[in-house]
Amino acid sequence: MQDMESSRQVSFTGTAREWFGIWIVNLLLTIVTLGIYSAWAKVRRNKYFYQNTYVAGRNLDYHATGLQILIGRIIVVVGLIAYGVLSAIPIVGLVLILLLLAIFPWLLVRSLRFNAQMTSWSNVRFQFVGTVGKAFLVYIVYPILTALTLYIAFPFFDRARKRYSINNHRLGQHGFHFDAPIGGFYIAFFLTLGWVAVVTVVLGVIAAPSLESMASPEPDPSVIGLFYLWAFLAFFPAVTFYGAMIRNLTLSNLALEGGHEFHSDVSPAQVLWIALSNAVIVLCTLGLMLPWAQIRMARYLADHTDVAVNGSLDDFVTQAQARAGAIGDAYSDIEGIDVGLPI
Amino acid sequence: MSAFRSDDEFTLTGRAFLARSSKQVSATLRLKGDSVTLLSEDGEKLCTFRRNELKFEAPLGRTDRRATFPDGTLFETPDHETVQRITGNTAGTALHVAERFNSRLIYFVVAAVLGGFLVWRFALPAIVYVAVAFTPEPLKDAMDVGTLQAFDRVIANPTRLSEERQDEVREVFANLISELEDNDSTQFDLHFRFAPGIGPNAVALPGGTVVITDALVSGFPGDDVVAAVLGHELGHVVENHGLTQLYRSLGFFVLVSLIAGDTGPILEDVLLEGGVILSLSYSREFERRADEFGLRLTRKAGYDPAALITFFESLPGSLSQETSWDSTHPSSAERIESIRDFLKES
Repeated sequence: MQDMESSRQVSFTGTAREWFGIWIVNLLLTIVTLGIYSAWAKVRRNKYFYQNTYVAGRNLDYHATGLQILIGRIIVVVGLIAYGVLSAIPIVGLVLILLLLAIFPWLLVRSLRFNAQMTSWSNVRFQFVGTVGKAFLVYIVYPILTALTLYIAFPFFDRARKRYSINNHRLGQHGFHFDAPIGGFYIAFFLTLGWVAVVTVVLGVIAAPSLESMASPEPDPSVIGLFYLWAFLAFFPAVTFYGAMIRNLTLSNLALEGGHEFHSDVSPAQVLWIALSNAVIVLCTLGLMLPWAQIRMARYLADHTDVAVNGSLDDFVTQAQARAGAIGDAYSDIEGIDVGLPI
Repeated sequence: MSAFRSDDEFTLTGRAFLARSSKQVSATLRLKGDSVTLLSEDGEKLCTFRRNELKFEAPLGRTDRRATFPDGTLFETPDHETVQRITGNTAGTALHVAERFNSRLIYFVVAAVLGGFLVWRFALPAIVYVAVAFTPEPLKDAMDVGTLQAFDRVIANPTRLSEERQDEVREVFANLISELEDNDSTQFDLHFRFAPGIGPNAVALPGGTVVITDALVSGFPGDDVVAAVLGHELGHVVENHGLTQLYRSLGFFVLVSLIAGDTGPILEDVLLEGGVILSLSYSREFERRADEFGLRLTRKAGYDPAALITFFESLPGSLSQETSWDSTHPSSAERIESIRDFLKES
């Protein structure tokens, strides 16, 4: 490959100053409207990040309206409150859990469809064509099977999730295709587990005396501190590490019909450094540096992503598609669900 | 800035994406009178529209201004100034001006923090108050049944008290209830349980179910202590403390999730944890209010309110504990103190 830096096809042009202004206005209006404006805030945030993301010189865009998002959120919030109150009733609670389990894949598919439809690149909308049945298999059955193997099969689940969410996406009439040997997933998985194990053992040895007090009725308060330290040193880095390795693996095996091939070469250590230093800076500035931190991460990720364009980018055409409402999207927003799309 | 006039003429340069497709061309948009024409680089007419079909999206940072036409053609231009002259001032441009990075944003930060505090302190309690008032009695009763079942599964066993002793305590309970003011809707039920895990104790549920442990019934001579504790629990029911706590935590969770998109996951966790700690101060406040309610009720029903002091003094460590920030109840020592003050005043 020739000089990578100059041939990069992906770039992010947002700036921290600009995003700070948009962010603080979003936050203020959301607070004074008791959360109602959050729907419009989401649209503005997505538009800002999408429109500043260029692939092959053409940017993405986000098309949902605040009203659509708001209606979805009202339905979900009312549903969640009803769920919270009603689940205290014995039999109703059990029925509700089963009901939620049954409609969860449906909500997920609606969320993916809505977000695909509302996203465009170069004036062409994405679409998602996955079925609810397959989503049930991937997001309900597979996790249960994975748990039965004591999570040794987790890499298979993760790959299945990526295949489902990516291979059912299309840009206009052209489909995305991802597949990768399982080996890469297992390497990332075991490296992550290894990191957690090493940090846990080291922390355990250092903190052995205060751990002994856990058995006593009045545990040492420093045990709670120790848990946070463990989360900060073991869990948080492990999740970030894994995410970065899987991002490289996924994007580098991703192609768009027509011969356009994606590539990602983020450094897991660098991503971890940015994520950790961002977290510390955001906390120390009581959140004021959050916009800066978000822009910093977006820029790093874009700078380490590339697309090899093979042929014309002018022949994509938006396909007619049935509209998906915003309920699934609102649900995954509020519950913070990860469908497994690489970002 | 002047709004659009029919005799104005504007030219915008940028790029166009042809109808619903990704085909990109350099383009010029010419606006003259009522007609809008999109021209390609070499002067070829791409399409024409009427003036009212030209709708620019609200400005956002320095990103290109965009207009999508009815046929699905998209026009983008970096020429913010000319677009602004065409559209005049709109709600979108006002928002854009507010978002500009300058020292005025400090006021927005202060306003956001202050607003967050006011929402937490006043708006959320008001919403919770209304929600509590509108919760139907059958729903509260159903929640009681569920909670009692969970209670039985986890820590409670059938009572070992004799029928006679149970009847005596039921009579105390009935005496207290008969002294309640405007008790029209709530149906009160008393349940006895053997629950050694929680010692001498009583629990009140939102629908009027009160559970009392065998240790409390048989641990003290006479009926005064039982009456004092039951009075306290009735205070929780009558003043809807349990339901208020439930709604407050649900409402807080929803509000934080709504701004989570703008706070990021780390600050979201900080806010949620902070909310839990702050809600403990409400919990302690509810205990104090239930104490006062119980003292008044037991006195009216003819029992000795000072028996509540006897009860707290019997709890282990009752004299040494300081109330701490991470506790759901005030310390026994502090509660004894305020009970003494209350009895002195009245």
